[in-house]
Amino acid sequence: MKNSIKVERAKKNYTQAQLSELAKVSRQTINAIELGKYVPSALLALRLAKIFETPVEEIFWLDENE
Amino acid sequence: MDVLKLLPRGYRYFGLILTVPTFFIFLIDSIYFETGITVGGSFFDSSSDFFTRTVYNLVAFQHGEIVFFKEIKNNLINEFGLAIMLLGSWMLAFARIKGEDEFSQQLRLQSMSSALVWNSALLLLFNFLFYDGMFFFVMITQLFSFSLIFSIIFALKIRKYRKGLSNEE
Repeated sequence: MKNSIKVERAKKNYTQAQLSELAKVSRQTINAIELGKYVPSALLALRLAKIFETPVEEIFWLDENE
Repeated sequence: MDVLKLLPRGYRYFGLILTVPTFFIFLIDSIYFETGITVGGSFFDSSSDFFTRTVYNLVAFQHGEIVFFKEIKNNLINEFGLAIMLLGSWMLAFARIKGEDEFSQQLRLQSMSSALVWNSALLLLFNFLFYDGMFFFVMITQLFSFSLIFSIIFALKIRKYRKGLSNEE
């Protein structure tokens, strides 16, 4: 799965620390999601979509082989 | 979303305080009982009467028969030592870390899976390396080794991800 968390974060001018506070998770979680090392739960994905005011499908999408 | 119910953070340090010295005492005593080599004397010396109490053995064999709740006198220091190791290793394993969330829960479950594999592999190896009385101590160690191995693997995983944070904003 791929995501555009870093791009969305840059649009809103959030640091990882700020985003982690808004999403109620740790900074290492946001970092791991951005690096593609962790796939968030549906709850966290929806929370991030709400923070960025963007549909969740525009932030997370499947790889071609998934 | 909490998958596992965990203890407060402070229990981690309490678990370390209980586990580390007890483990070394246990190790030294294992060597003492098997080889007679003393390192400052045996801590779990069964000749000491202070911890000797009347207890009830749930199931015992007496003259070829099974007896329930048989009253015996037993030195309980080994039992207390094992209880401290078990409680300490559980506290270490199941205490919250700083910033506990769904990602650390996933790392926790991965660590449990790895710990199960490593613990079983070590038991398989020790099965062919230790014999007679020493294998008894291997079996005793197996009672708490899973929690200890899990704690080590989990700590290494958390450290690895926290180290990576210094390269990011």
